[in-house]
Amino acid sequence: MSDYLWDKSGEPDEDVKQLEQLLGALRYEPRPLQLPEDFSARAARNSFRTQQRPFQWQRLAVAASLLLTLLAGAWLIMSQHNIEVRREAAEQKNVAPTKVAAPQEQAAHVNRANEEFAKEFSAAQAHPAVSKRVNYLRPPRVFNRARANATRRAPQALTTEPQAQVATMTEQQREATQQLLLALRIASAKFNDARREMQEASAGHKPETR
Amino acid sequence: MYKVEATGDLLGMIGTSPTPVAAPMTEAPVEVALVEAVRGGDHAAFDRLYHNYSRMVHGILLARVPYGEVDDLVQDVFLTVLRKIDSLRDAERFGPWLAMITRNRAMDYHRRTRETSELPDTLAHHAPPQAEANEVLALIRELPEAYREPLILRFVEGMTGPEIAARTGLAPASVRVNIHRGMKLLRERLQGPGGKEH
Repeated sequence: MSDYLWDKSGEPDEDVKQLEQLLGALRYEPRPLQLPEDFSARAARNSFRTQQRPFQWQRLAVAASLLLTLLAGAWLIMSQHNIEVRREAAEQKNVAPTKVAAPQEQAAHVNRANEEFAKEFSAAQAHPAVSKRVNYLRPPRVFNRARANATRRAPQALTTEPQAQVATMTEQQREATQQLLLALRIASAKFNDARREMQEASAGHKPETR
Repeated sequence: MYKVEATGDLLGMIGTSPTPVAAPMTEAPVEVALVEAVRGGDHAAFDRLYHNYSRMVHGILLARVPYGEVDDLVQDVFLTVLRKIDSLRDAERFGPWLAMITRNRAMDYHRRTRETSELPDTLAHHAPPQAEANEVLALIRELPEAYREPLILRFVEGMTGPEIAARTGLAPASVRVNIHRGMKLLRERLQGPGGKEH
């Protein structure tokens, strides 16, 4: 076996020499490299990174904003749901029979209190020593249970309408929750995709040594 | 692959290689200095790396992509090197690192041309200088992958076996075995089924 094939030493084989001559015509003739104008490894690397970065950050920002929007929506829906639940609980509590004084008695009690206060107030205003100071006093607020009961909804209405409302609300809420969960899953998948692409892009910068 | 390397090691053990392979020992410090200089922005150092390694890059590409595309891809590879040279941890392994970038670039070329439409060879920018040379090159490309690169680097680029081993970072014994086996296969193909010279 000739060593010419390995290191060009010794007598060349005829066919090896022919192949060298024939294929040597395809040999590379180095031509001047067309380097970027601002030749610097660091500058080239930085320009490469700045070209890559906006695209990656754009995608990440879009994914993050989408996720934040969905989270905000979820929070709003959940808080609304909590408010409804609390209101229902309060209404159910009010439906329960409680001992309440008759409206006539309540009104009489309020009237008596108001009259007593009016008397004291006018006496205080008439007194010269305290008149200036008393002028600034306001009559205390008296809780009028009769008025409060009147403004409150009738107990019969509470037992019929809200039950239907609760049934429809829970159905709507269930649908909304399912839609929300689906949207969250989609957003999460997109976010993961964007993150994976970023990781792959950054892995492309890693050394390729063997 | 194991068989080839094992045979190569065996050849090394029985001493069929009288010529000492000194290239890797002498080139590594030079490469390290050049790589460091390029990292500092030295244009001349990059030119020197280009002249030292452009033949290897050309040969590796020629084993994989059409002749007309090789010259542009060589430029692409060196621009990639310029961009990524800071990520090379071991400057002594510049040659193997460059060879890997070149092979990746060739794969990338095929991936992109598959996505788009492939032009017929008649429309290539550069026609091969000799039709006969192109035929032999086509025969080499039909050989197993392990033989293609060393044969092209040996016959087209005119590199010696030790030089190929030093530049690509492959074991000299493996390169030696692959060149000889590839040459044997090429002879058979050139002679054709009838035993005639191609």
